[in-house]
Amino acid sequence: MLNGDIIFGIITSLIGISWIFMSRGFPAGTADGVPGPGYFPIILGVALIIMSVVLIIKGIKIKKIYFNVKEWPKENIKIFLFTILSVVIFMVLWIKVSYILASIVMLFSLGCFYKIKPMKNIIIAICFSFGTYWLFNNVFHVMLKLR
Amino acid sequence: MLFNALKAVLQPSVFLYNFIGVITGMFIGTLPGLSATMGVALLTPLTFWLEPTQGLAMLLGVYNSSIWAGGISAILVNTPGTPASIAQTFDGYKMTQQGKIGLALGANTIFSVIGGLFSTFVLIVAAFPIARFALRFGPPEYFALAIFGLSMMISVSGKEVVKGLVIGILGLIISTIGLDPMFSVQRFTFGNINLMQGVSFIPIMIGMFGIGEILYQIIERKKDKRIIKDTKDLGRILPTVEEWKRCAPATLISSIISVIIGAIPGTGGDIASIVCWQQAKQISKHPEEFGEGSIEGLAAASLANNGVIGGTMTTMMTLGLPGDSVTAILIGSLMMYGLQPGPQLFVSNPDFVYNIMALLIVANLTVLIIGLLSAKVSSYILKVDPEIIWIIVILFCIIGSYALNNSLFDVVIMLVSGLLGFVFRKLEVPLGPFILALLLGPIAESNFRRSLALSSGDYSIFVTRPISIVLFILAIISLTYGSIKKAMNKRTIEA
Repeated sequence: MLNGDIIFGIITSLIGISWIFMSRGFPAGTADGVPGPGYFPIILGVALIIMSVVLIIKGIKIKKIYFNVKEWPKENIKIFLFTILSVVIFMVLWIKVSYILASIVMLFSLGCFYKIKPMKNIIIAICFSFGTYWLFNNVFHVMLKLR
Repeated sequence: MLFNALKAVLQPSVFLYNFIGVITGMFIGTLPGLSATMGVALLTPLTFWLEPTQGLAMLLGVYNSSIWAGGISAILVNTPGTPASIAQTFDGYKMTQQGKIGLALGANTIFSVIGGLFSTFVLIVAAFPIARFALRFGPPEYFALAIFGLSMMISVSGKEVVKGLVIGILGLIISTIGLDPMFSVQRFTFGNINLMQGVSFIPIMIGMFGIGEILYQIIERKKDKRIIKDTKDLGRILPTVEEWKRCAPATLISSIISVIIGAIPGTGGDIASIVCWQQAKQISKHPEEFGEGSIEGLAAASLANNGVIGGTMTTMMTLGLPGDSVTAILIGSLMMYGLQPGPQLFVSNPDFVYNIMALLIVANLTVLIIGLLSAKVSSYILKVDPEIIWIIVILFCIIGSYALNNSLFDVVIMLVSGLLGFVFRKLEVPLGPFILALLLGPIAESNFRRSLALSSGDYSIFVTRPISIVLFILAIISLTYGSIKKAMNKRTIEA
């Protein structure tokens, strides 16, 4: 069980600090008063830190739990993780092999996991893979072939 | 000019793209969980290769149609298809339970179109004068306008104003990645050439509203299926003369209120429809019927969510300020075509401005025809399994984000944004301020620094010009109003 507000506040305040730190290396502004490239990011960094601290304090007071993973249905978590994994596999197959194969593998495996009827699943996987390939290559002239 | 524009947009190709957009929007709007924002974000990459008028025809078709179609699922299954249709559940579903399915679906279509057409009329009348006024704006006014737009979006984040501020500032921070707008110095690119032009806006939108939404739906998935009323025997669709008369006051008041709400940055159809429903109830001769299947209530809510579109488009086109997430993407789309929304667009491209107005009229009329003809089959859309939609959306998110620049880096940005979108939704962090800040960040920064260049570093330039000071005051009021009201209520209760 995680207190989301506190963690979110800590992460954003770290981003604010790092932005200020990195901005210090940018060139200074001009003599006639135009601020340099680091000026605006520094103001934003400071503002982000202040608001993040307010959020953390609010989080400590309210103690609201957003990510109660234990309450999420296990099946849904499995589907969630598998969806992410299949997108990663899609990307690897697309880069290393081909778009059509990557697409068929992703759509079919997701369909199996989502328990779509087999025949429907095969039709969707094949039609959408070839259909999008044809549409993007021939109509929109997008090269889906990476190799 | 408008007549010429109408002739121009009634070209077969433009009409076809508008039709495709309306049909796509009908599916997206009807299916709960798929929003107008997601629809426009997903279709934007596909319009990249079209002429601007053709592309806008498709996107405006999706925008109008999905907002209208959100009412279909609100009426049939008591679940709003888009957030803007929430008030349509109040009376629409009750009408379905009373067996007035046809009338409810018909009223949704007719009053949505009335709202859309009225707000387009306001856009036609008001846009050029507002743009002429906005031509007087200099850098301090534009900086103030950007801050005001952002403050409005944050203030409507409900109870989560602090989170809205955090995420809004985070969006501004991300917008500083890339080349500095004045000195062309690389900032926060970490040597990555893909970040030189900044983080692409559209892949972020596709990820947050596409993949993020799907991941959220997966985690929140419930096994029980929706019970969907069959629409084969739906009865009469058109209201009687008596019902028209009854709805007249609600129509009038909702038309005006929704356009005003739409013109305020950060608001949207959800707020407009609830406000209009309440106002219609107050002026009705039969307020007791509201929430029990009142056609007046449904008319007010249906009209309001499409009625905001003209107002939102007015703000977007005249000031270059997105009124909501959809218009934020539309600004991105126009920029994709090399067109920058704002007063200069009215000077440099008045024909295109008229084309957009004409496209809105055509989109509304297409919605009217399709809406009335498709009432009988609308329930079939709801029978599509959400899992099939997930698969299709995931695939289109990936190819869509790749297609923008033929860049795998954009796909990675989209996927990371999708995960962030999911996390933000679980944390109840509003996405609107983040998206708006990404878009307004460069405008705010460049105008802030230009202002200081004009004043030789004197900060009083922001508070000595009347328009900018008014906008800053409005921004402060919008951010603090909620807290002040809350504190006053608390004091009243204690007293």
